Amino acid sequence: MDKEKKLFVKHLTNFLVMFVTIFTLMTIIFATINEYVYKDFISSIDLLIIGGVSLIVSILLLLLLRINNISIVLQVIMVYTILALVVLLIGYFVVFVYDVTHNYKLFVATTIFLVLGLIFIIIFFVIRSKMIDRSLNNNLKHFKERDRK
Amino acid sequence: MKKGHKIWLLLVIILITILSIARTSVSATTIDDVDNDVKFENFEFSVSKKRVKGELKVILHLYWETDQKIIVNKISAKIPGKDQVTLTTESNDEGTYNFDYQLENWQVGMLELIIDYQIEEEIGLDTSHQKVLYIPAGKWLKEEVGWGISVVLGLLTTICVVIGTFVIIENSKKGYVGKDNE
Repeated sequence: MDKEKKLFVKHLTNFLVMFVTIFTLMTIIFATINEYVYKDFISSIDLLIIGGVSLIVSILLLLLLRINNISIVLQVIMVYTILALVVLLIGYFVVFVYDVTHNYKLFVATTIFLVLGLIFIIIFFVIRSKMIDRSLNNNLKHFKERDRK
Repeated sequence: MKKGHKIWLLLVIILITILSIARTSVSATTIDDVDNDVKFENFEFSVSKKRVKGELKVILHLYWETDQKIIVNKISAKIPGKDQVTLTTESNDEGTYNFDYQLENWQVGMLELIIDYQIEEEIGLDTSHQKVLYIPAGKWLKEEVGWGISVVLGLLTTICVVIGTFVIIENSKKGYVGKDNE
C-alpha cells in the first residue's frame, strides 16, 4: 500500500475514532439525564441531530489538531472546551434538559463540574508531559554517557 | 496508539453505543378510558418540546379514530393542583381526529384530558357527551432536579467529557511515542 493510501487510512481511522467517541459520550450523557428528568429515552430525531453534530465536531477537531506548533495544554483546552460547549448547547436547544429558568440547578452544577474537569485534565496532561520529557532526557543522558565511555 | 488497539477501542465504543441505543423502543401510552358512549380507537398521544421566546413549551399531539362520527366541541387539559385549561373549541367530524396543542412545560402530575363532544346522529337533541382520558406521568413528568442529583449528573457529564478528551488527544498524537509508534 503506497504512502498516500496509508495516510488516508490513518486519517480515516482517527476520524472514525473521534466520531464514535463524541457520539457515544453524548448519547450516554443525554440518555441518562433525559431518563431521569423526563422518564423517557431520547427520541430518534434527537439522536440524528446528535449524530450530525458529532460528525461536524469530529471534522473540526481533526482539522484543528492537524495544526503544528500547538502545545499539549492548548490542544487539551481546545478539545475539552469544544466538547463541553457542544454538550451544553445540545442539552439546552435539542434535548431540553438544561434550562436557566426552571432547571438551573442542573445547569449550574454541570457548568461548575465542567470547569473543574478542565482544570483537572490540564494539570494531568502537564504532569504527564513533564514526566515523558524527563524520561526522554534521562534516556538521552544515559546514551551520551555510554558513548563517552 | 497501535493500530490494533485503535480497532479494539472503536469496536468497544460502537458496542457501548449500540447498547445505549437498543432501548429506543417506543413505549405504549396507557390510557384510562372511563366513558363508554363512543369508543376512541387507535388513540395516540405524543409530546414534543420547543422553545418559544426562550420559554420551554410542550406540543401535545393527539390522534384517535371513532366508528361513529362525532363533533368535538371542546378539549380541556387539567393537572392536579393547577387550573383547568381549555385547549380548543374546533370541531372535526371526519372520523379521525388529529389535534396539536401548546402547553406550558414544567408541570408535574398526571394529565387529565376532558373531551366534550356530540354524536352526529344526535345533533338537534341537545345531548352532549364527555370522555375523560388520563395520560400517565411517564411522558409528561418534568422533574425539577434537586442539588444532590444535579451534582451526580454534572459529575457524570464531566467524567464523560474528560474521557472523551483524553481519547481524542491520545488518538491524534503524531510522532515518536516510544515503543507504541508504528
